[in-house]
Amino acid sequence: MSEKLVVLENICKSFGDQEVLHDFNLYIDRNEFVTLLGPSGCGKTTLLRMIAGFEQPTSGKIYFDGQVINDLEPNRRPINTVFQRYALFPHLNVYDNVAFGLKNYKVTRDNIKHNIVKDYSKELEELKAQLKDKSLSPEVKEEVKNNIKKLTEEIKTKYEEEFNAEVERRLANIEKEYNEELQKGELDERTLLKIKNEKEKCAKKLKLSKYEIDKEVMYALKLVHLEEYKDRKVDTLSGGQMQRIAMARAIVMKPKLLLLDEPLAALDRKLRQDLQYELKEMQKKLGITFVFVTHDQEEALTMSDTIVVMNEGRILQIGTPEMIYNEPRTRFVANFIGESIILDGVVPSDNTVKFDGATFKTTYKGFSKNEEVDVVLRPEDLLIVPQSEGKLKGKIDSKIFKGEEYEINVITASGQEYSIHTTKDYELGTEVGLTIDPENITLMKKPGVNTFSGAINADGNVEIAEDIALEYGDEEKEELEEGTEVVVRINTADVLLDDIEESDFTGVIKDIKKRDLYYDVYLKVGNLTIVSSTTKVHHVGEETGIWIKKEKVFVKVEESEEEDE
Amino acid sequence: MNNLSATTKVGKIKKLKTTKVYVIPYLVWSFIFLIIPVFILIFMAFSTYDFSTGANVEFTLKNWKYVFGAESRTVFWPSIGKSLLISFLVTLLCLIIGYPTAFVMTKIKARYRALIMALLILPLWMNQVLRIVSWRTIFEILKMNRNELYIFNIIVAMTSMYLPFMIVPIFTVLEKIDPKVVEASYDLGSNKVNSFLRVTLPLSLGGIVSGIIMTFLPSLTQFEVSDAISYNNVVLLGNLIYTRFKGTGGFNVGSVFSLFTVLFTIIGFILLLRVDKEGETLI
Repeated sequence: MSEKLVVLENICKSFGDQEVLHDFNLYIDRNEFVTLLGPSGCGKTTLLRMIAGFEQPTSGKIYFDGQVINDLEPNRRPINTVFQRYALFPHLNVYDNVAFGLKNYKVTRDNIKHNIVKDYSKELEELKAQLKDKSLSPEVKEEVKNNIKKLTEEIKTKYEEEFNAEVERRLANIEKEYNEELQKGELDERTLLKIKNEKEKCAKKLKLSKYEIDKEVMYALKLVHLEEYKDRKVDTLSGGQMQRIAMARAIVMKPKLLLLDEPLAALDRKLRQDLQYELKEMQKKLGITFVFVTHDQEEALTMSDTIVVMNEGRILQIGTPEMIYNEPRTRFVANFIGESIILDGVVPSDNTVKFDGATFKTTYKGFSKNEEVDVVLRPEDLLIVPQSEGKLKGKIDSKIFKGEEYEINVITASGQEYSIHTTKDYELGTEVGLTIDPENITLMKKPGVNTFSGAINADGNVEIAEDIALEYGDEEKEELEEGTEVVVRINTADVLLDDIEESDFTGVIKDIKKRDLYYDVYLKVGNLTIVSSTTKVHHVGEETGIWIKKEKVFVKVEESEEEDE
Repeated sequence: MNNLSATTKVGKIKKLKTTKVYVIPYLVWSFIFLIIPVFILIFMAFSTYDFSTGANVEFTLKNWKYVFGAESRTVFWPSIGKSLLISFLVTLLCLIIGYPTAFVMTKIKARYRALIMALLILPLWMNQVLRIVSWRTIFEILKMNRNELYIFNIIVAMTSMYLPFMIVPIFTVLEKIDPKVVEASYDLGSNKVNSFLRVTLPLSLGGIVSGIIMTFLPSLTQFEVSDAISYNNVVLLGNLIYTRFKGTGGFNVGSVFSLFTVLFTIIGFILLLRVDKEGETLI
């Protein structure tokens, strides 16, 4: 069994001319707690509804357990949903709400039939199409008719076989349970026999008896701590209780995948925190894959194994909560997850960054020389020190008391504002210094640009490594002398991966990260790492051709390095 | 804290008092023209009082004996039977045609919904008698004005008249059903038919009952339709009451007939209250 439970491949979805999901690619592993996080209107709910089966993708494929489920009706998918605002059945009490799905016994039968017919449908349709052909002679027609009849009978026998097999399986189970109960001796033999008979009667129709339904319902209600509420009408419940019933109603179906559409959004803060914890516990206990949709970053960080940050129908970053918080890949992610200050910086060399007129130590290696980067700072990581000790020097401009801490605004000479969270109180107007520990500085590549240092070779092309030379620029490009040192920029989206034969040079896929726009594929080419943003699914270790249009290679003469004062 | 709640309480009472004033004209109106007449009916049914001659008040069960007696056996009971049968069939037809219509109305674009609504409401703005007369003309043109077809014609005309009263309450209820609830039932493994039977239908029961009552009760006392369309050949409960009150002298027996309709109305209302406690389906 593959680890991947759900694979979304090149999913596009439009409502009218509005495109809500653009070429979306994502996979979800078994037993993962995945959160789709994004502002409202980012397409996360649409995505969830597509997995549930309430919406069809305009194009692309949805795989579940290795099978394409695009055309499968929602009632046939082993997936259940906890709806936003719960969508409990108002005409039923708590017990009947939870039991609702279990009473859909007909569906088991339908599913058996459906699965068999599915295998034969192509053959059957072909035969039926043949019948419509008027040029057929009566004898051939008769034969086709016979074939159809044979096929139909085959389906019927197979259905009966599978039906009986399922009945047998259930009967054996009932027998086993009966013997176990008899051993326990909690109930007398007559009652047990009565229960057994009832169960067997139902099993023959592939139906669940009231005893079995009762057992499952009570187990689910116990799991959400609402056993005593079973006879209550749903409109007498509080929001938190309704939420739990909605959970119980879904998990009683033993789905392989549980979808949760902002289930906690309507609850107050304290209750939400309790339920966050409970949900996470429940997921661990049941071993079900959860896909959770929320716009609340705190909720996402608390509960998830993996967070998928989305905006405007695209994935911006995929990663663990720690990765997303500590190493946001784009400005949007940094802004959306927690408070942050984002500045423009330059990397003069490994482990350093220069911004706002000062140079800081960092933990980052591997940026090109003088590469422009985004610097992300978190308010709780900035430290206020006496001015002489600070790398940045500024004045306290404003402060707000927030209960646990002060939010202090410091303005530096350049006019840049820094928001700082600290428990210490400072006078307004105090001249202070600011420092940051190297590990608390996050550097982000400017969105989607490969930057290399290179030199012009004898052919007038730019050489970015010993044996990799690229043609560059358009017809109006400035001719450069051989040996000129240059900075080469290529947008990651312009690095195309193609068949090896067609390409300029090849690389080996070192890493694929579900992040930034679509997937970032990290290619090892000699000593260089080239990043390609692609929507296609690739595999680590694969060798692929790399192809870059010459108009997309931007070359700039490297300026002589300015020395810091 | 106590003070605060006290003042808001006083404010609330004052407010209630002032708003209550606005309902007084209606209360007076319905007291004079609805409550008092019911008591007059009861009084008339149990007495020999005659409006045209005045005086001569004598309490008696004579009127009731007459209605239940041998004399009216060939008139009263067949009429009430025919009325019940016709009302039942009209209601059934309205339900069969109306429920799917209301159901489809919740699924289509607002523009088309408004169109159907207009088609339903517009005829109601035309005088009822005119509509009935035009039905009679239609049956005449179609050469359907024959003795054996009268009941059929009455049913057709009445169904067309009362259809909006079935569709509108059912539509109101269906429209209020959260589509997420129906989705939840698919999600839990129900197919379309199952979802309809287990979720949509029970949730629209209130609308069905008020639709039934709003077609059944008015058709039970209809007399213009049967009068006009059957050329007085089909005599229904409504016709009996009408003939008794048309002239003079028949008021006492007419009151007994009328009390039957009051009884049916009360039964209908009690039924309605049982399924629809807030009265939200009464348009």
